[in-house]
Amino acid sequence: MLHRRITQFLLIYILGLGLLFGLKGVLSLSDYVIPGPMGVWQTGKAEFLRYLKDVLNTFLVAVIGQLLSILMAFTVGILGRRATWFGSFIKVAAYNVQAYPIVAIAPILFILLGDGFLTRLIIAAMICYFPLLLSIIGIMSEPVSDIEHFYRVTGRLRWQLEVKIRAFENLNKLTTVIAGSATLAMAGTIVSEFIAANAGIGYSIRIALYQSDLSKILVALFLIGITLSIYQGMLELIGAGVKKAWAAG
Amino acid sequence: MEPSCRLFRLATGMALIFMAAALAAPLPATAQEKMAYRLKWLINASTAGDVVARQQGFFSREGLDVAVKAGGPERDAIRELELGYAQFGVASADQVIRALAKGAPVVVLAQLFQVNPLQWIYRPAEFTLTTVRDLAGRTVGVTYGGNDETIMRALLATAGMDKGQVKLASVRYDYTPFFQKAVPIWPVYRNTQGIFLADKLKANGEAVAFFDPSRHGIRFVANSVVSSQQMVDHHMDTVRRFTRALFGRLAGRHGPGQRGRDDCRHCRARPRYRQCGHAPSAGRYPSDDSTRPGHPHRPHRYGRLEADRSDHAGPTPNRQARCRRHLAATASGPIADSAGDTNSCLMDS
Repeated sequence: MLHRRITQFLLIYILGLGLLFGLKGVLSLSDYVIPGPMGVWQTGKAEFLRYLKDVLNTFLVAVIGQLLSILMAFTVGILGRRATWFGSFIKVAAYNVQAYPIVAIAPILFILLGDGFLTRLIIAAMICYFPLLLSIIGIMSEPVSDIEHFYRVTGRLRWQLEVKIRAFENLNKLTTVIAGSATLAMAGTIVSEFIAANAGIGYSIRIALYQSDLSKILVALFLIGITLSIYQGMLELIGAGVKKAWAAG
Repeated sequence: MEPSCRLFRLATGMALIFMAAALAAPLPATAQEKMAYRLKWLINASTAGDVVARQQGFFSREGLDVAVKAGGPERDAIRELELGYAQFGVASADQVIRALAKGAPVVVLAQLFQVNPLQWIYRPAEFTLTTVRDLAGRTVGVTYGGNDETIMRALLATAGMDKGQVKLASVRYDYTPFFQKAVPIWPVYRNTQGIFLADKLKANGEAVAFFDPSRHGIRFVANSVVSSQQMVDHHMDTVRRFTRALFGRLAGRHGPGQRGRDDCRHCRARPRYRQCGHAPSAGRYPSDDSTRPGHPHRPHRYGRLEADRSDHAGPTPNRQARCRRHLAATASGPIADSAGDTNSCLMDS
């Protein structure tokens, strides 16, 4: 799983680079618009360590933000799984929070909370949370009739068991959604850094943009991509491990 | 042959003839050349000239249909020129230098800001900044990657100061750290942000002062009007018309059909001023005499022309009378033919 993720990323990155270099050649563009392969290589050598630190900084915030959003999404998903008044109220409230585009709210958060860790974390969690919520509500609202019926008629179906059954039966889906949300958490953190923070790879990308330096951006994209691929591959491995353990138990 | 079939063939034949005729006919000639002009920044006071040129029809009078497009932090006029999305643009000097270093075929048509309007705002009630060394021990805002970082580092270097003596703080467009005095020395463009920040603080009873790098030996130009080498090589006439529309008419007295350099006593006395770069020429930096301090045609530091200042020697009684007449006559008329005179009269008054 891990190596497949890394191979897929490398393939896409190389294809993307090839496309850019192809465009550069066909349209005879200068290094200012699209840098040459040597330019990207030199920048990569010069900036690798600095950018790696920035990416790890961003990654740390993204992982914590993702954990926070998983927690929020599961809480809302479990509370809102029932077709009761309270369930629908929770769902509507959770949807409404997402109605405001985060890029509009982000500057207010930065003004209120400053440009430190907390703001980045909240923005990452907010961007990551909604798609997770949609999937988790979908999964948790759908009864697994074959299994639940038995426990229901015997009067042993408590909410914990109901959630466990639904989660287990949809573990593949959940693993895919959680692994996919890692990308969103990372993107959310980068967006927040780009908008206002003074740390992380999003901030470095902004500086590179100021300097009109596409080489630096390509190096940053490589590091972001490879870090995310490894992380997603690991999440998938963990998901497979959890399923195996549950099945054995 | 059936009559209906004959009718169908006739109709088809006529339709084909019409289509062929329509295709063969020359397309109606476009009245005006379509151009895109990408500004450096959002529409604000510093782009007034561009907006006036568009709104007052200066471009259309030169046969150009120019879309004046707002810039922004993620917009890069030089890239758009090379990719063909724009034919003219505004770029800062640092962008131009970087682009040229990387082989971009960019040509500077005119230097809008002869002196960079970037300065640092601060509250003089807290401290004063008379020399660069006064920055020692203070927190100074810079936009990392922006030209203010370069300028501040150059300032510190000229004063023999190192990084440890001044705390550089990264800033964005949110002025909260300045309002809260966390970053008491904040970079602003004097002609835009400087004005409204000063107004805001004034409303709060606070005075402001500006730390101007050009007074401390760091003179850096800012926005330039740029185009591509291809435009200059193959469409020089368009370039001329564009610059004429943008500068000729805004400069007023130097525009076509208006009072020009021949009427200027400085230029008459010193023929070499006749080549002054005040009406910008393609592909040349305005490095000639006109940019020297004291020259009457030297563009004002923020794009206003010093030559517009009452014939360079203050309003004489004759001029005052002329201005009164001129302002009265143009009070409700178009600005196009009298912008320069109007501006200079307003300045005199």
